[in-house]
Amino acid sequence: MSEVSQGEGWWQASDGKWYAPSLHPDVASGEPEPEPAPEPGVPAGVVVSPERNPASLELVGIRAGYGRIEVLHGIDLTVPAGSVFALLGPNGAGKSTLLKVAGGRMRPTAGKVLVADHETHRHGGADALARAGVCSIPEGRGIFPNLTVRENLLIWTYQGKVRLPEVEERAYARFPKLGQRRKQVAGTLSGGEQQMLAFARALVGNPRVLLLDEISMGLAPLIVAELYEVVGQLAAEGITILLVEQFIQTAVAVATRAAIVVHGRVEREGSPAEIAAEAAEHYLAGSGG
Amino acid sequence: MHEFLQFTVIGIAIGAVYAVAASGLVVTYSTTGVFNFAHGAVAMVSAFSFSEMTVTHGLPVWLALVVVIGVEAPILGVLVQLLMRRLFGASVERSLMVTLGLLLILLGAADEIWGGQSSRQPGQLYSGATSYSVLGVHLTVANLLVMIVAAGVAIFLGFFLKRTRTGVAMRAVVDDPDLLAMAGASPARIATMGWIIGVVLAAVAGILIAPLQGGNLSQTTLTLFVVNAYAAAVFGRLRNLPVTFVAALGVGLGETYIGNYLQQYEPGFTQNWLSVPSQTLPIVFLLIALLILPQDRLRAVGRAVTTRIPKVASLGQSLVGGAAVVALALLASVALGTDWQGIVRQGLIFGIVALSLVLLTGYAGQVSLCQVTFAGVGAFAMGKVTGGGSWLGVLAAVGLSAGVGMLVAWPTTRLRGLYLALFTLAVAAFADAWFFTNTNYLFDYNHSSSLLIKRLGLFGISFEGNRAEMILLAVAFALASILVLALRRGVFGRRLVGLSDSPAACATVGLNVKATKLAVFGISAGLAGLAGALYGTNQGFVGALDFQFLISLNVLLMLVIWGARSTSGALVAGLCSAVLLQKGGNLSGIILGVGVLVIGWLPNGIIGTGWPMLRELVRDRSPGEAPAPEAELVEDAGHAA
Amino acid sequence: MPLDPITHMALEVREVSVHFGGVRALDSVTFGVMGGTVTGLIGPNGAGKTTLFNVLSGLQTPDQGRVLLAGREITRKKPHQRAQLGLARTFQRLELFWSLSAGENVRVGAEAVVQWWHPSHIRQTLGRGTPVRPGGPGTPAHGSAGVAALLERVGLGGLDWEPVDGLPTGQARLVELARALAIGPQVLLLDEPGSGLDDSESAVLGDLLVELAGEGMAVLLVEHDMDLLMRVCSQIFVLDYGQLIAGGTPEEIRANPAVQAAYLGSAQ
Repeated sequence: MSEVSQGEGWWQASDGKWYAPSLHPDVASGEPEPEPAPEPGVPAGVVVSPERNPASLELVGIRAGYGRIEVLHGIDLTVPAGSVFALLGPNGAGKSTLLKVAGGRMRPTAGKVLVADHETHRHGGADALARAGVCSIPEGRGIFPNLTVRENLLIWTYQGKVRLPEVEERAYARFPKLGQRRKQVAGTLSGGEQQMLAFARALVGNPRVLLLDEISMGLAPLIVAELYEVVGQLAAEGITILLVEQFIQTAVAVATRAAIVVHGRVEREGSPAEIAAEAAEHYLAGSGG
Repeated sequence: MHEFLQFTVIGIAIGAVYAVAASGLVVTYSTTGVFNFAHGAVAMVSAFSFSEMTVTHGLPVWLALVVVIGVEAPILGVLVQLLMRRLFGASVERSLMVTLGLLLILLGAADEIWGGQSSRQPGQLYSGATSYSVLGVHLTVANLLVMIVAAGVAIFLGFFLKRTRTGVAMRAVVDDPDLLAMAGASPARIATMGWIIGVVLAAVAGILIAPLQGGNLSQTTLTLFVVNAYAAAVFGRLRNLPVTFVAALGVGLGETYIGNYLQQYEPGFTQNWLSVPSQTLPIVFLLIALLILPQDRLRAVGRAVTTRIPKVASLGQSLVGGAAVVALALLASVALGTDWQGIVRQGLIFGIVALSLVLLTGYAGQVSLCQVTFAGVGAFAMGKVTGGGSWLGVLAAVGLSAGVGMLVAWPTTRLRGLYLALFTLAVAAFADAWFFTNTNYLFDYNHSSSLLIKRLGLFGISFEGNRAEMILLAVAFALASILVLALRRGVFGRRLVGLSDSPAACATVGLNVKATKLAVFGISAGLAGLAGALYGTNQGFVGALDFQFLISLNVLLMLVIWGARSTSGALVAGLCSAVLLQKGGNLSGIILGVGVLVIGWLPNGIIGTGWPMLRELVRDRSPGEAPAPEAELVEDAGHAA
Repeated sequence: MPLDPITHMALEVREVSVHFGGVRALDSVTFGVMGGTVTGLIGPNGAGKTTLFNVLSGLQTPDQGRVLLAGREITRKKPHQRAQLGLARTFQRLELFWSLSAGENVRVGAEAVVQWWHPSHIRQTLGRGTPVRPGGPGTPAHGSAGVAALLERVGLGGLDWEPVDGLPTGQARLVELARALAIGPQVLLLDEPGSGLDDSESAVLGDLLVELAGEGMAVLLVEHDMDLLMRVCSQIFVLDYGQLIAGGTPEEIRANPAVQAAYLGSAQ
């Protein structure tokens, strides 16, 4: 637990509860953190529930690809327990592939993935990893379009020791719109509702690590904001989060740390603010304009 | 009216069994994405096991049920899943070949175990003769039991697939196994459930249908009854259980009404055209079901795992290869005994059929299970034109079968993969039941049950002698393989491969996908027709049993084993098919079926994998060839630029 | 979306809408691409760009709206008919003929509209134009010149006989581009041709697109690489959750706050 406070600025007050870095007295007094998060997007004063037991995620020398084509050329990345880490970079740089490897959905050709200092390949595939607390929300719509909302939630119960009523309660409390459509076939929901349904999986089974792949894709800004509010809350609860996001500002607002991935390599790692400035150049700047 | 009601009761009972079988198919398909062609064979093996236990060994019915349905079927299901696991995510065509192989293994095994015994009574769930009379309609306990079981299956599946977590996951797994894994469920375990339920339902259907069919147990009848279930499942688009159930009842009723009323009012028609209605009508239903399927939209498929096309021989190389085949044939005609000479001749003919499949399945990716049917059409033309045995007949054979091939292809240009395989299977079964065996009107209207075909002659040289015939066949094979390779080198061949790799890309560069499919079906069927004509000259006659569906299956699977994209594969496949048919006996199905499992490991087949490896090996061994292959390639290509 | 009536409109999209279940992928999209220009189409992932390309190339039937190619209605035409009328495309997720070589991929495109009885085809079938690796027996002396030139043009000179299966994504994309060019299109739809390319390849691509436009081709370019877009496009349209939210010159688009919001996210 103490790693958490040292690594990412989460700190334990004398009352035994955990507080967000921005509330740390040192920050207020002007004493800089080792890796200060300039604008932590965590709602102030949120209490970290100790039972979350956040885990660190570490990628060591990861190489991976499709067929004979290598996409990741040796990635080293450490996501400390309880931190929110944003991966930025141009399309096709390998960010999604990186998340796939981290979530056990793809076997690296070299290197290893460590969750809470345990090598994950000993867990088996993505299913075993999911049950061990690594929750992947994939790119696109991570739902089963031919099943109803409720049936999707039923499948989400595979992830942890929870029962359907409990999952329904949590999901509908968080996303009331889903509650109104529990018997509707998921494929006929709007894009935002589909993403909420996908996201509901992060709410069940007490995941320790959350891997989010462009959850904003194709969604209206209001819905994106709503989803990121949940991300902020999950972060505040102490879940370790590694996210890929095309919207720099959105990502930076919630992240405590960030990196740019270009051509399958981590080009730079740093505080979200620094990285954001650089990533924006990659996206919109343009030398010829 | 009374008669109608009576037929209705029988029809519903039969439909109920189809419903059980069809829902098994649907459950397996919607859980694993694999259509189980061995479904009928599983039903057959189960019915035989049940009969073995209850009739032969006098075991109590409940114990036999527990053993067959509770132990044998689930074990089989798990075994199948273990086999299929290797093919997870592989093309539809590959997993299809494996279930076809499984079909042959089960048929072969049943033949080996039970083939020797001539008559065998089906096991009865209820052996009493009690029956009820409701409104004057005779309702036997057996019929009632079937209906109750079907209703039970429907209720169970409805509950299981809708209300239980495993059931819901089963409906989800095919859509996105990756997501299911991310949610913490094991896709492999869920797929195993799909296989177990499918196989168990096949077993239940087999045990139920056996007594209804009357008479002794028959391996073929039991295996083929599932064609009805195919039709019902296709009506339900292979996914929709309620529609499948209703369609199954409809098929059962339709079969009973049509069969019985026709028999009653048009006995002549029935005798001449339907032979056994319960066997011929299902094929018609299946054809109808496939024809009314909605249009398959062109879609971008992204990158599929493709098989490698071996290096294509130049004209010079293929001429040398052709000459080598002729020379080997000459050698064989001197060195081998009469018996083996006959096998080699037949092998060369099957080799031509296999070549037609290289074009159609190997290059263009279109699975055909009716290639020998096209050959039969060719033989028919050969036998009918100028009394059989003229070059005009050969021309007619090629032309007629090419025409039939295009006719078959016409409605299928919108079908792909599995549905195309089902359609060609139905065509083959249709031709078996309505054409080749119809000696009164269609195939051989001389009522002599075999069509005589004389040997050919050319410029005064007669091919009467077997050695001359062997040379003729070798030359024909050589020419056909030169033709196939020439097509592959040219525009048409590239289009075929393109069609197989990405139909969407073909369309977006301006290629008419439908016309290309028609053309390749035509050429391929024409080639098969040539093989059929030569088959006739070699044997001197052709009969009803020469062009059965199982022979198509034999040649296709053999080609897949050796390499569906190589002409040398076709030659070896043809020869092996002939050896297996003549010498394999009961074991031939098992040998072939086990052989097909090879493609789980070697998607390119033995030759398709072995040949390049051999070349690599030779290259590595030979000294002086220092540059890395990559560098060499670029350098070579530089000359052309 | 106000559009000036322009003299030569190579491709027009009028009020095209597409729904998938409850999701509105395209919502009454209207715009046009002029001949002789490169037009950019940008927007966040999932905004509907690929769906729009599918509608344009005939792989997706729109629920509403019309598509016109050089003033001619093609909404009901099949994909291959559109290609024969001069519309070519590439795919974001590559749709190559994976078991053929780079040159053969291009050849399929070049030959697609030629009938099989054309003399050059027959020559090939007879064995003189065999696709045997050069240097071996039956070396092709002719017929491949056009293909080689096309490959050269997209920067893949010398890779004629290289299996596409083993090419890196960037080069495989260029093969797709060459294949699309091989049909001699008036309108070229490119779905993220620059992703996976390195800087020098990307520069070559940019030059090529400008050159193609100079020859009179209309190019519609979906791309994330803003460098490339700024360099080659005379006009850019912005798609955001199925709707066109902006259109204008690259400078206007960059300065447009709505575009920045759409691209960078609204969360502040």
